[in-house]
Amino acid sequence: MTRAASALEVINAGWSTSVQDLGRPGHAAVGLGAAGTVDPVGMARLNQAVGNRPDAPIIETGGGLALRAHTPVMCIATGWMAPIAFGVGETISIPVSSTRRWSQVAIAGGIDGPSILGSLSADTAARIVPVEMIEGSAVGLGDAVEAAPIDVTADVRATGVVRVWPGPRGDYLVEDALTSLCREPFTLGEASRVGVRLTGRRLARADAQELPSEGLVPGAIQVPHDGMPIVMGPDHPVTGGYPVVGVVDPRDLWLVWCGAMGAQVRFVPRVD
Amino acid sequence: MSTSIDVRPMGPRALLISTGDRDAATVAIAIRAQMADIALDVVPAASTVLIRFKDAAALKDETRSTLTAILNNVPAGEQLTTGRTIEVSVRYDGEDLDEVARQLDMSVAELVEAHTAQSHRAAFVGFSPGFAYLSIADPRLTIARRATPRIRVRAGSVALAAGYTAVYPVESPGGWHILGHTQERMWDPSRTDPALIAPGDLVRFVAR
Repeated sequence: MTRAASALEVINAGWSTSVQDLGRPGHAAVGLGAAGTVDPVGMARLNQAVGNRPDAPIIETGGGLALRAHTPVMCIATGWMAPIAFGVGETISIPVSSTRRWSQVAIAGGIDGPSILGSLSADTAARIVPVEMIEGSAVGLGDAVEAAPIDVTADVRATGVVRVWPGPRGDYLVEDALTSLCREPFTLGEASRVGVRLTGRRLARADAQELPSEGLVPGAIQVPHDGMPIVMGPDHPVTGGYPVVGVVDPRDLWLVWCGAMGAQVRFVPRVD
Repeated sequence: MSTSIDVRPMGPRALLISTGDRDAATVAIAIRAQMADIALDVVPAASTVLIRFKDAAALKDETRSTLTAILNNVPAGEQLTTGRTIEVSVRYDGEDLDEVARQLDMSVAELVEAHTAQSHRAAFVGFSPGFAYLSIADPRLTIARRATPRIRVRAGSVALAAGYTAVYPVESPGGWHILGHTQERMWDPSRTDPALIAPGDLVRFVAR
């Protein structure tokens, strides 16, 4: 049931704005990745703040997004201390953040639309876009409200370090892979939903060999021949030919994916 | 005879198996059949299989022993299929048909005959969603990629390169030789099974 098929109108699409939920895992063998949110915990928290199911579809944007309300809506975005009620004709603005690469926007009811393979997530690599988010798009809301809004205070997750697991191809580096990943912090560079480039101390490859392409996971740390690692994002290719020398712990992936360009991340070997 | 089994973790939720002299698609079929309850994705590639698990099963010793048992039952060189054969009707009007025939020292009719005479088996999917690498059945059809890739290859192009044949599922750049075109929808995300061809399927091209 759709509460309002055109509750919101995109006035300004901003940077790489898309609708996301937990994605559509299970199709990697035919070449389709899961896609999905860059921060599942953040998504659940914002949804609960407006009374939604934790997995209700939200909007993720690199900023510069403006939405006009055509019906009264309750909305919360990353960094807001509480939901805000917007009346008809009012504009929800999400500026570019200096501290987060991706901001999340949850709206009471959740985003609605025609799901593809069980998900509303846009997949930039596979060009799957169930809900278009371009200037002039009409965005519908669903009925994902299930509970009274929960008062969620600020994000209390630790942000100091990023836990990392050994990868299958650590032996492609000159030095021990975990030791060299954890020695000095890396700086977050260019990124898209496909992956995040890291800059810092070069990870010297032991050889110039090509690896036949093999399966990848989100958070896989690939090292191309230039020695600068790339962390696979939610829209990563299903297979790749650069050696995976480490894997970011799923609990800490949001720090790499959502950290601002130029921010530093320090890897530590995961201890359980 | 089986060689030693190389299983390495890829983070807390996945294992990467180097299949050695076993066929990766065959190993993937065996794993999918026997670990369906805990495996989210089983992804064969050229010489590996990645298993992504629904939970922390990747870290458990019993998962590894199950895997070892499954692999020990897959003889080296054996090629299982899914049991499906997919017919793809092709109009052999490709841009590179004449050039490929010349390079392979065949007539165009012989080339089409060689491409359609036997079924090709899907080894793995990569490059783009639904792009199945079909191992060519006839070794005479082995040809290197084009020296200069095309910026744009249209969906449904039937192509040949590097020991494989394939159908481009969506429009994309491409460096394979185009033999012909099909109307079949190789990739459609609105279907329950979006890809027409999965690893281990047999594909038979039919000239029309």
